[in-house]
Amino acid sequence: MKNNVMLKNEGDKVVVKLLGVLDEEVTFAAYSLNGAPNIVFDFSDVKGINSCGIREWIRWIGPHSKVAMVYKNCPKIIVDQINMVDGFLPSNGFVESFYVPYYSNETDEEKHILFSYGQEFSENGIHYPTQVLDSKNNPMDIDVIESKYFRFLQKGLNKKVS
Amino acid sequence: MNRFKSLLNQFKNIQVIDCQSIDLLPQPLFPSSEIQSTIIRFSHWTQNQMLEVAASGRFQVFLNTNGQLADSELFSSLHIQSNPKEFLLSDPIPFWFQNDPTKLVLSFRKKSEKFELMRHFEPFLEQTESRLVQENARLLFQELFMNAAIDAPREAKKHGIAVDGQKESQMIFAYDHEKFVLSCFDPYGALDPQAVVVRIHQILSKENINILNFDRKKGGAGIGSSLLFRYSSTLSLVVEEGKGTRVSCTIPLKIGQKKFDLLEKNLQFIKIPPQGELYEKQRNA
Repeated sequence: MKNNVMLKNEGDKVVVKLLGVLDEEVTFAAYSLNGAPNIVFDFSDVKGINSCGIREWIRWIGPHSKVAMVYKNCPKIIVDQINMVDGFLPSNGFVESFYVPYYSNETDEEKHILFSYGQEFSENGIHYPTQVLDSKNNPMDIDVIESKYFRFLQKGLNKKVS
Repeated sequence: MNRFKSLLNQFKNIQVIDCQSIDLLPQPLFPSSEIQSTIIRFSHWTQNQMLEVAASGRFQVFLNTNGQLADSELFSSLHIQSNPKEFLLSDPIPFWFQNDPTKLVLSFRKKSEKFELMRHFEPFLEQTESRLVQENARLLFQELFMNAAIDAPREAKKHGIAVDGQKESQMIFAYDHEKFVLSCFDPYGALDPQAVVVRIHQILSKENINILNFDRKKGGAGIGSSLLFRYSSTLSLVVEEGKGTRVSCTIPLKIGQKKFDLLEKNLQFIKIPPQGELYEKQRNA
């Protein structure tokens, strides 16, 4: 069995760390989320996902509609699925932090900046970092179509459940 | 303009139609001994418009005129359209690259070889030093491998195509200074490229993807083909039933994520007809 999932109980929540590529070999079903009052999914070490992984993810989290779920450290590939695929972020899910691509036209450098709830975004909108610089101290531009990339925020899909 | 005309003159059997407005799209010419296929060069179409026309089956090749790879994609497409069998069954690299690219070729027979392929693919990918290429290529690799190793043999059995565990599939990765290409060949030819394009259109014409094949216990969720389209700038499907399927994806280098997302995508899909069928229809028309 491929080891893509690490579960850890931390007080009143279960922290689930996802690892590597979420593909047709991942067996989420082997990890029970039953009984967890709050679940935090940490995507910081996710390298990729395919269509089977997307399906298995939705199948795994789908039955837990009454549990508060927090997604953190979402890489771009996960943000894409949140925006594109119904149910990838369920109605009881909340994105606490996610990465946003920045690009330097001077040096062609790419950076992914972490946007966190309460700092770079909140219910009041997006509060962009003052400056993101490349290795030569040139300002970098946000490198997404904001209406598409921040869609899950703008459409009220992201609701913090206390 | 002279270079463009000179290029087209080399491929007189391929009709190239420039179509700036979808309202001006002509009726397709039937393949004949003079015209083998048609390329639609478009600009300022929406993605949905292009997919809708593609899904209708009226035309099979759509190239945008605005992208940074417009010229090289036209060159590739003209060659592929002229020699689809050779592209499918022989070395496809000269069809994409006029000079020698950096390349990696990996063969496989079973899905259990995936990890071994990834062990070679990852360091090769990191040489590109482009995060966009790396992230997109990883996803494309996953879908292409799954299609060839799992979906293709399953579909082949359904269609009565012999599944021989000895036949090899092959992944090819290649890049030069302007683009990265992934191409996957399977030896079955069970893919229906028209059905794939219809599926892509169905999925991407909605605001959100509903995973319609959610209850399928095996195989993908039905959204794999739309992911291939979404994460590449050109998607190419060439099939000959019983002989092979080649699915290829191109990603431009030196481009930011925003520019990539704004690109008008290219699409070509060819089902190589059985010998003689091409002219049989013409005689009966």
